[in-house]
Amino acid sequence: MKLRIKYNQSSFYISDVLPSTRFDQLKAIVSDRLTQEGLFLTDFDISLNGKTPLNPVEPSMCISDLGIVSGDAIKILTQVPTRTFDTSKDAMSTPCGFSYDVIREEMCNMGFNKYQIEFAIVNFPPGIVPNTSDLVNIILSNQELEGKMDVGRCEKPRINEREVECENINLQTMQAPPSNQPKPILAVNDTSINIEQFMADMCPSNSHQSLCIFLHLLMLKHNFRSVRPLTLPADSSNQIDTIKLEYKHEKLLPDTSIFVILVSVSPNLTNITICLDTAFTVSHTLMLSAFIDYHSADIFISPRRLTYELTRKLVSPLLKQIQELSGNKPAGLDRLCPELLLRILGFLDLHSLVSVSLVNHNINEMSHFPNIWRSLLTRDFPDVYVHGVMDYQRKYKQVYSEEKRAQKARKEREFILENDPVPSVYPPHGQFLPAPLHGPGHNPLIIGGSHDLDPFSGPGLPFSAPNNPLGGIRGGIRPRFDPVGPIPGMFPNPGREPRWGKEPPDGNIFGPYL
Amino acid sequence: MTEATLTSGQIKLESSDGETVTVPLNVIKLSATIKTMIEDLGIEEDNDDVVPLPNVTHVILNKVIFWCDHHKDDIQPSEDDDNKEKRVDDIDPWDKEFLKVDQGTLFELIQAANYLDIKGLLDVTCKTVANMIRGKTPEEIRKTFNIKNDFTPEEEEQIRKENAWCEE
Repeated sequence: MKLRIKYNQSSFYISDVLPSTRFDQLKAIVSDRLTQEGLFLTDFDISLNGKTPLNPVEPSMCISDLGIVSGDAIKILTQVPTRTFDTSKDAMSTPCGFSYDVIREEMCNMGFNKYQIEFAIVNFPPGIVPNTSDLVNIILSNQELEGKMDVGRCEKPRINEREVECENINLQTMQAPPSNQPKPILAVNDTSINIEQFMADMCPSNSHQSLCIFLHLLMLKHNFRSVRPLTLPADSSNQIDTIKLEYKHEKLLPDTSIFVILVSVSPNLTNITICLDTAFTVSHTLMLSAFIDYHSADIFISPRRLTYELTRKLVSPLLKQIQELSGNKPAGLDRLCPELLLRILGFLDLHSLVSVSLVNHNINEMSHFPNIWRSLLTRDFPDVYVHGVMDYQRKYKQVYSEEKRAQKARKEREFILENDPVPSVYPPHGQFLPAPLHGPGHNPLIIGGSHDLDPFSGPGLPFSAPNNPLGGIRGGIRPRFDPVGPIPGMFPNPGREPRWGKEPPDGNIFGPYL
Repeated sequence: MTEATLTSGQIKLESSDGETVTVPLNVIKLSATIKTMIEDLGIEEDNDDVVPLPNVTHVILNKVIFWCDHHKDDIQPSEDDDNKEKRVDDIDPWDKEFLKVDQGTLFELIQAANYLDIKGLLDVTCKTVANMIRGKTPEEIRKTFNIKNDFTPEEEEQIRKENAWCEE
């Protein structure tokens, strides 16, 4: 049969259970399964409804007798230490409503000092509700691995070793031993890196190292380039740490190295020195104690404040010094950063862009940037569909050439129209037709009558009927516009009346053909 | 920081050469960088906190503040400038007068506007530079901006050939 185990938000399946499995066997199987998932629980209860733990009278009862059938979801309840506080019932039903303060107090009473307690809490595997015995195990296993070395900052815990052994030490809760090899190399000049990710990769072992990483990122952000990859020394909490970083500022001082030296004077005091070159001529020093404590995470209590401190007291003076040393070259078009140069190039038209691309290598390279051509394309040819275009410059070139060809063709056609108008098949005639409508392109002989009512002509105009002083639709006539025109050789029916069905007042008005 | 202090308060800015300038917040709010700094650091009015600006000298900072003061009541342009037509001939006459400076100052203004993230100033300065480039031959551009030609004649010929499609 198959059972589902639910613990906090995660759930797993177990299938190797039978209805005849005993309750204590089930507990062992569940414990194994949880261990596979990385959860080391020694003391837990099984519940079906998530609130009341199953407490069989005999541990050898079959699970089928307890009401567990295939497909059931089993909830894991973790036991919280019940020795020192009375709210254990609440805490047991809601494992999240648990407070570290109680554990801290409890462990303090057991003789551990502050650093050890915090160390254990920080190193506790995530996802489990800590209990005192597990935390004690972590501290003890760490001390064993350190070769019973005196930690230096604190006295050894006075604790009865036997008593601890009685507490059923689960060795799997031990942290991986801190290796003596240097931590992974930090050769990142990529400022886009996320600081949390960075911290996780480097896993600094104390707050000096965290601070070192923090400062490193700050320097990278201010356009300093790391020369040597940074290595963090292995955790040597009992001696003075010295970390040396080397940077260069390519824009302002490409030939000079900038050294940043961090010395951990004491567990909660770090001395940072920044100097130019090896001569130590220009240096800035900062003794930082407010953000430094035992844990690597301590500096994150107020990272913005820390950034502000470091920028104001170290990085800004350094930048100022460097600017002075570099002779403060005036900024110019060729010394602008690429982003700004691109912005300026984005405002240019095609011919200026082509022209500026011939100025020097750098600008030439920039002038091929796709975004410039994209905006140029959408600006000059707004009808062109730019979605899915890979190479905007090529597309622009193509569209531009097509447009040029089309313009040329249009020009040629205009030339034909101007100089070689289609000759009229009919001779010009009729003294009544007004001159502009009577040119070679206009033929008065149009099927359906050559004139129709003109809504616009008014009294006094050439076509208004004499006995209708109002003109307009009640009297005015105008030549009919017929783009096709009469078929050559065919006259309209001479007997046919005009559209308005009435002989115009002056029968002569339409000339000899109608 | 409350909205009220953002409209009425003052803030101290420190330029790279150590000068401190006190600016009303409703003027410097045009700079997105400083606005963010104020909000993030939680600098209060009565505090003696100074915002350090390591990339801006006090001469340029004063000019930037002067510009911001004139434009503090402008309507903020919308963000989508990608679709907007990029015109260079729509510079405000006041800005034109304001930007009648030497080239060094102009480029420093561009850099400061970029660092302080003042979109309006950045646009208008970039347009001014673009106008200086427009309609000039490469040689004239080099002369205007004092740029050295680092092309060999062959390279130059090659690029000219590549660009022949638009020369007619």
